Amino acid sequence: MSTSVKRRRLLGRFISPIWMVLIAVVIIAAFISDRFLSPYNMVTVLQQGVVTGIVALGMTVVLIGGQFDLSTGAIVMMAAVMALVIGPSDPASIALAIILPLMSGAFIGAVNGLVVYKARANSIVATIGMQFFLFGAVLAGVSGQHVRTDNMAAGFSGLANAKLFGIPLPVYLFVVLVVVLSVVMDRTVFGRHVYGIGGDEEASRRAGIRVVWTGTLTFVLSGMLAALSGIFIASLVGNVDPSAIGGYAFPALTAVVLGGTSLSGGMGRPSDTAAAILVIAVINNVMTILNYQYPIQLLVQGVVLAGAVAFYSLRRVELAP
Amino acid sequence: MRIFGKLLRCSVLPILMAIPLAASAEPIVIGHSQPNLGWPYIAAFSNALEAAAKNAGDVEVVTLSADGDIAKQSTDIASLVNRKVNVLLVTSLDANAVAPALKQAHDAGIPILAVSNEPAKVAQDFLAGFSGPDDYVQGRLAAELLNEALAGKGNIAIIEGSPGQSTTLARTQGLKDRLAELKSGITIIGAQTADWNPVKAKDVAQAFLTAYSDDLAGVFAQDDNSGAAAAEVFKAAGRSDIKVVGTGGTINGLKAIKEGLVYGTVEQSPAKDAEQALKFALALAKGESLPEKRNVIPMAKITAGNVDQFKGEW
Repeated sequence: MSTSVKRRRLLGRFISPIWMVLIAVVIIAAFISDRFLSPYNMVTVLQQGVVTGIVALGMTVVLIGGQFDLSTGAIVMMAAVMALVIGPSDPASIALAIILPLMSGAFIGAVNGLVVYKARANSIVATIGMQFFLFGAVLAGVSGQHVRTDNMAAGFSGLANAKLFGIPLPVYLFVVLVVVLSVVMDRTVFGRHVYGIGGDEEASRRAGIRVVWTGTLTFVLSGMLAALSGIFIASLVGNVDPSAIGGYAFPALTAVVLGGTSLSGGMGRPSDTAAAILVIAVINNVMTILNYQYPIQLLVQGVVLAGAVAFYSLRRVELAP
Repeated sequence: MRIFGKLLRCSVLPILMAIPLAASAEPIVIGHSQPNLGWPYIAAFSNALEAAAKNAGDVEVVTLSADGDIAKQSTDIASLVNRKVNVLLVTSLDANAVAPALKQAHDAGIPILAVSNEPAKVAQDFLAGFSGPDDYVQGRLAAELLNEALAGKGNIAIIEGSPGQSTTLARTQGLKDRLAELKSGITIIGAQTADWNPVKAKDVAQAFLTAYSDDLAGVFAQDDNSGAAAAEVFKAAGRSDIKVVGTGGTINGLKAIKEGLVYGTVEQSPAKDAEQALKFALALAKGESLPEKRNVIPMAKITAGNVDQFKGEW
């Protein structure tokens, strides 16, 4: 390996390309709209990314392990519906409206994980199957109707709506999640094992890593984070058409891939996913401000994503030992 | 013996022939193909239709849900045709894609009543008629509400449903056409999708505030949930002066009007929709024709002044 490549790899440990992309899109956005950098809009951008971002963090960990979790959109919906049906109106029901969806998310993640790692099912198929099951179960449970909480306690609606120094609470929580997950993935045995499994599952098995246990935990984490996102939706709007909030899996996966997590596992970072979430939020926001219509927005997103994926695969070829 | 045989046949034949007549005392079977039981309005309409049929007596409703899949709606319609239902009700998922299946049902001699979501022009020849709410009219009524709320002047923006859906397009077109007819001074300065998702509606509302700040006087949200969500954003930003009009007349929409968050909405009643659909379906099953080809259900403008007259069905 040449020294220049080594140096670049070292630099890459601290500043990933996606963070440079983020800086670039922020500069471009500030140039094309003088309103983009207003404090109110900065908060909008940060807030906009959180719901999808939390889902994406969980999917990043699963994908580093080499698997896909496409049931997350359905878990988001299930958790939001559960929280609203429980009806957080007093401290006891608030606790229930938070704990029960999180536990359900963890349980569904455990089922996903066992089906994928123990039964060796293909994770795309298995988690899409889980998605259908959950959509069906929830929609049957609420007869396809809107779900609402009319007397939501301030404590619960504050989860997503309250602000500290002008910034909504979920933004702080998102930052904390990114930091914690970065440390977990970088500095703990669990994290190293997830990278190992994603890099080469058979080799990890032979090296004595508890693949089923570790792998299942990644799905549990993803399920819980998706549920957390659903709880925020419940708190944010208090009333949902369940069929309108089940679509978060694909935008989240887009961010994960844009952040450079390898589709074949073994590579990726939660902080890069966070940067990618912000890149998408900035692009969407500035195009909405300028009133670009949906087809153009889609087109720009497509170009950014395709460009990023091409860049990553070229770089991997270059950095291959 | 032969004579006896002839006699027997003579006496049996009229009885045999009478059987189809007697069979008409069997319940009338209404087949209903609908796009997705997971959509609140569709679910509420289907439930209301089945309840109304139960009250009518001697009517059986067979409901098949396409689960949001265009191909499944075609096979659903085909299986209802095979069941030889007396009349076919179709709430189309895709206005164009449903046409070939409707042709098959038409060729099989089954009268078809389009309900709720209207099929495209290519399918009109196969239909006995249409009964339901009209998205274009909803857009027009929303224009009247905004025109009234803003005294005929100011800039508005639209929070749209899913891009490309006929519901979205018709509601936007109705708004534009009616504003033009009214010679209103209202200008539409922006339109963005929120996919019927109130979470996205909040993002869009915030972006509108950034983009238009003091220039923004009103918003047309194409569903009540998005309208209420946007109004909450405006209130939090100290801009309660921005007039929001939704559509649907849902429980959430009525609540937002009572709380003073939202200026108005347009009624879309699943019960009225289902009652009219059932009335026409029974008429078609008896071989009668409809009063008009298109029969739009009554839709009222709802504001703080009359909100107490509506109970909110969905």
